[in-house]
Amino acid sequence: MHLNVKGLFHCFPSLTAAIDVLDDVQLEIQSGEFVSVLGPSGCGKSTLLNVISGLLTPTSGHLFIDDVEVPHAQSQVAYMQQKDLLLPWRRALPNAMLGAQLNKANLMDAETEARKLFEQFDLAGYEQHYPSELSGGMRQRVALVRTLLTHRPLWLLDEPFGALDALTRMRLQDWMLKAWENVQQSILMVTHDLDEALVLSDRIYILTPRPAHVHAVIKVSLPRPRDRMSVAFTEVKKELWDVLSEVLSKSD
Amino acid sequence: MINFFRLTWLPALLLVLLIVVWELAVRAWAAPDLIHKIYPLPSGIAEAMWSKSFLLLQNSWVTLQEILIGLSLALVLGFIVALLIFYSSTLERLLYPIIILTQNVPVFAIAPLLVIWMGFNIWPKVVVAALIAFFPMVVNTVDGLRSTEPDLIQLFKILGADRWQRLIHLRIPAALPLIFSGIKIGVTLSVVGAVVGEWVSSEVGIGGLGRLMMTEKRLLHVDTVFAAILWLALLGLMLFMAVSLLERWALRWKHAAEARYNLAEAKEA
Ligand SMILES: Nc1ncnc2c1ncn2[C@@H]1O[C@H](COP(=O)(O)OP(=O)(O)OP(=O)(O)O)[C@@H](O)[C@H]1O
Ligand SMILES: [Mg+2]
Repeated sequence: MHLNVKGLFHCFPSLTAAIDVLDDVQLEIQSGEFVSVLGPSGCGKSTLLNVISGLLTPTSGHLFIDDVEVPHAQSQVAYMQQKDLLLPWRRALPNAMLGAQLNKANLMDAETEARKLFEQFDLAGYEQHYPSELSGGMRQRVALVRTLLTHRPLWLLDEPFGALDALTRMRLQDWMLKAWENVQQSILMVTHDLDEALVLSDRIYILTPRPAHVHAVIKVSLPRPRDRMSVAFTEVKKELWDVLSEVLSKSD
Repeated sequence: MINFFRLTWLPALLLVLLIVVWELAVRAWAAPDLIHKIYPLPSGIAEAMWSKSFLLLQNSWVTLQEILIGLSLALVLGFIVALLIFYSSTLERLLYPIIILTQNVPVFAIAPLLVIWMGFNIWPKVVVAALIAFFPMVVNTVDGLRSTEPDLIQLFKILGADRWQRLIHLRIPAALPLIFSGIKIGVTLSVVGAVVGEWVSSEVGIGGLGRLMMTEKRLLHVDTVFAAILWLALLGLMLFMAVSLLERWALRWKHAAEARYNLAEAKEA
């Protein structure tokens, strides 16, 4: 699926002064492409994903899916929000199967798949725990399973690994890379982690502080799997770091 | 269990003390020929509980039926009306004032009319019990349905849920804690409602604990009146405990959440 976002503006009305959050954002995700978004906290990344997923109607702007203009991409996206939003009255496994259940998918298949993902995400043995009995990182992984089980052509992931330790995070990144290579999914991921963006992405969008505007797009053409310690990797990281500090210094 | 014992032994002791004082005081100061007739004696009540146990049981069963049917009616109708109010602001403006109005009409005033309309049978009492439990059911269910977190509604939108799925899988589970407090208030009120209904209905045969109280009072069997009151209190307590148990089971996820911070034991310090 090919998503094209053109001239996106958004401004939140408020009592005192309207808050401009998105300022002419242009963004494109080719079919099967892995795209990351980096930007300072509070710049408008989650707002951008909310607009794409149809939770928020932008002030103005255009969305195209495979060159056809659409109001939003709700039915096409699997959106994992920044908060895990598990239902407190459902145990972990039924929580993970919520999307599949609401979309009237075959529940037996969904359960088999959910159990497999629980296994791969180190959640085995916690299927029957309530969300309040899970750690923050575990809840985030359950939310990830729930998102994946909706089987939509575009994944919108808002800091999917934010609550995880470095090791678990790396394992899940590897897992995601494999999953992405197998099904040639289109992915748009928000992250604060430079390494994460560099290990996974084809291209990285760097946003300015609020109101968000695309400051630069960095293409990462290193072959996968990428070695985080290699010289080539460090070079691109340096380049990315320079662009980011440029953005941050401009905000002062 | 140890906790339970520690919590109950003090009130139990107090109760025993009160009963002893009551017994001694009545024996010491009440005119002897009025004892058991106007002044109840704890030992007399105990005796009545025993000797009239069949009569009390028969009448308790009648009252229990009235309460259970009335409560179920209030539950089902209250839930349906709450849904109507929740989904339609027109119906809300139409129904809410009427419901509040019915709440302000004392049941004592309507009960005799209900008996005239429906006859000397179980139904006027069922209706009074239902009427009185209806209000907390509706109000709590409406508030419960409105208490859903906006973030979760967004989640359901993302997952492509329709209105019906949102109701079944989100709004109702989120409303359950408030619905249960509505039922708990309703249970206690419906006991009162059923007895009020029985008071104004003078029928032959088994008329429930309220009816029994009236006839025994007229016969100057005040010990039996108190035995009936005791049975009624037990009935109310049992129903309340049954609902609490059901609630504990239905909301077990809440206890899991409380256990995270030791809240279940600590309560509000
Ligand atoms: N409903 C709202 N009303 C007013 N302002 C809002 C609203 N929602 C978000 N904002 C503002 O919009 C800005 C962008 O918010 P957003 O959540 O998109 O940031 P973000 O880039 O995702 O940040 P983070 O990296 O911390 O998650 C913030 O300054 C926030 O205060
Ligand atoms: Mg965010």
